[in-house]
Amino acid sequence: MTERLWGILVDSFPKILIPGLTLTIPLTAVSFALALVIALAVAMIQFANVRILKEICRFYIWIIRGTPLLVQLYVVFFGLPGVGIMIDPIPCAILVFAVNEGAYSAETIRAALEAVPRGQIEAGYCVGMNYLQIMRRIVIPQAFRTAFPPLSNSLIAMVKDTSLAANITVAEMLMSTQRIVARTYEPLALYLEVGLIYLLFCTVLTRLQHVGEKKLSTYLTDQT
Amino acid sequence: MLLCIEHLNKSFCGNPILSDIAFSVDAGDCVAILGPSGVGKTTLLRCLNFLERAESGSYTLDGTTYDLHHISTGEIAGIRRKTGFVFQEFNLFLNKTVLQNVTEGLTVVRRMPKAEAEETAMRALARVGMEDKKDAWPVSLSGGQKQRAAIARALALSPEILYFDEPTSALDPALTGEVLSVMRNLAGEGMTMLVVTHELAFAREVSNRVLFMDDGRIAEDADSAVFFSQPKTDKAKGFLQRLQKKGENET
Ligand SMILES: Nc1ncnc2c1ncn2[C@@H]1O[C@H](COP(=O)(O)OP(=O)(O)O)[C@@H](O)[C@H]1O
Ligand SMILES: [Mg+2]
Repeated sequence: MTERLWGILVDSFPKILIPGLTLTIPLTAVSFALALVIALAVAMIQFANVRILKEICRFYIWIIRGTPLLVQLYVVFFGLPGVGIMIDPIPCAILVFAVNEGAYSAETIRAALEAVPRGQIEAGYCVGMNYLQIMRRIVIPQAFRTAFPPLSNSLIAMVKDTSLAANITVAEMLMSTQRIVARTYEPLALYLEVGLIYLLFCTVLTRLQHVGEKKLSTYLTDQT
Repeated sequence: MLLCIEHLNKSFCGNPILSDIAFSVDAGDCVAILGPSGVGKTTLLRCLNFLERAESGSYTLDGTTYDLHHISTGEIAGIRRKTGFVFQEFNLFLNKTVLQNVTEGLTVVRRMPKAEAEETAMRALARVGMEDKKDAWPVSLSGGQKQRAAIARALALSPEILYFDEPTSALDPALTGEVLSVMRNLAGEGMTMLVVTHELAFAREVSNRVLFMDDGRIAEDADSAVFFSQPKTDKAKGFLQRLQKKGENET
């Protein structure tokens, strides 16, 4: 490796990492948190079989899962201004990522809720609890354990999908890298470098997933 | 008279399952509900705790009469407060320890302070011989222990009547004894119990009355001693003979 290339890599490392820490990570965290709120609501509406609302939820999931994330970003960022709705790039990215991931996670959570044995719900009624108490104290905690690995998957996928925000002028890691490439003409090394930083982020999340799973599984282990 | 049911009817998808059920239970009674599989024993118990909604019928508990079909959520909650239910499949809350399973209803529903709830729960666990398992997770228990914990969960709320739906049918034969002996003690202490069971020995020795169900109806309602020595209907005679033969083959 030439001295020049090494210099570029070292020089660009903080220039890529910092947008990663200030944009990619917060963008992911906020979008995913919002997505979970949407997903839990949508999943519970379906689980409780609330008429009409349930149809609306199915429609939402159908639209979101049936269209590309990038198209959704374009519609909101470039399309909506045409009808007078202007949203800044970062809020726009958060909105689209949250609404998009909400649809997928809703299905994950719904499946997890349905996997909790029904008998426990009946037992909850028999000790006098109401529906919301049973959901909050018995069903959702167990569903969360079931949904945790697939939700971790989604979170890890979202870290990488935030790179799509580069298309709507959010200067996250990928866009920062593209700018450096334009200046230095070292695409191979620099794209590998940004890939490596994504890998680093995802490795940390994978570790956290393992720790989380262990914590959540205490009640499933055979120990007292 | 503690509990009185009249004209209870229930059907699933147009198929009548229970027809004009009527019976009453006195405080301190231990009533066994016997009958072949599929005659509606489980459905009857579930209607009594509103896990299924009967089409019609009246339900009198403690002098207050309710309509089994037209009844408000609040009234259902009030009735469930006075009754306990023990399931064939235990249905312990898997994300709670044994102690938490028992305190759940006390703290969440009765709003009892945690320390007091735990004391109450420990007394209930002592009655079923499960104090030493208070911190165990349900998955780590044997079937008999699970069912005893489930009984403690119901007992802790000091119900006026306890419903049991085949409490030993999901158990290894070797483990039925510990559950039956807990139930025997409860009956001895005067707990009012309505028990669906296939354990003839329990019905004969512990319960003071038998309701024999056949085809969605109560075919016989008699003192245990009378039912076992002189069953009136041919169905009941056949049923007893079949179960007795089965019992002899097993031992
Ligand atoms: N949820 C349900 N939907 C439709 N049919 C049911 C349902 N639950 C029970 N049944 C039917 O009702 C009848 C009585 O069932 P059950 O009360 O479980 O009988 P038992 O407990 O005496 O064996 C059976 O024929 C059963 O198939
Ligand atoms: Mg049954």
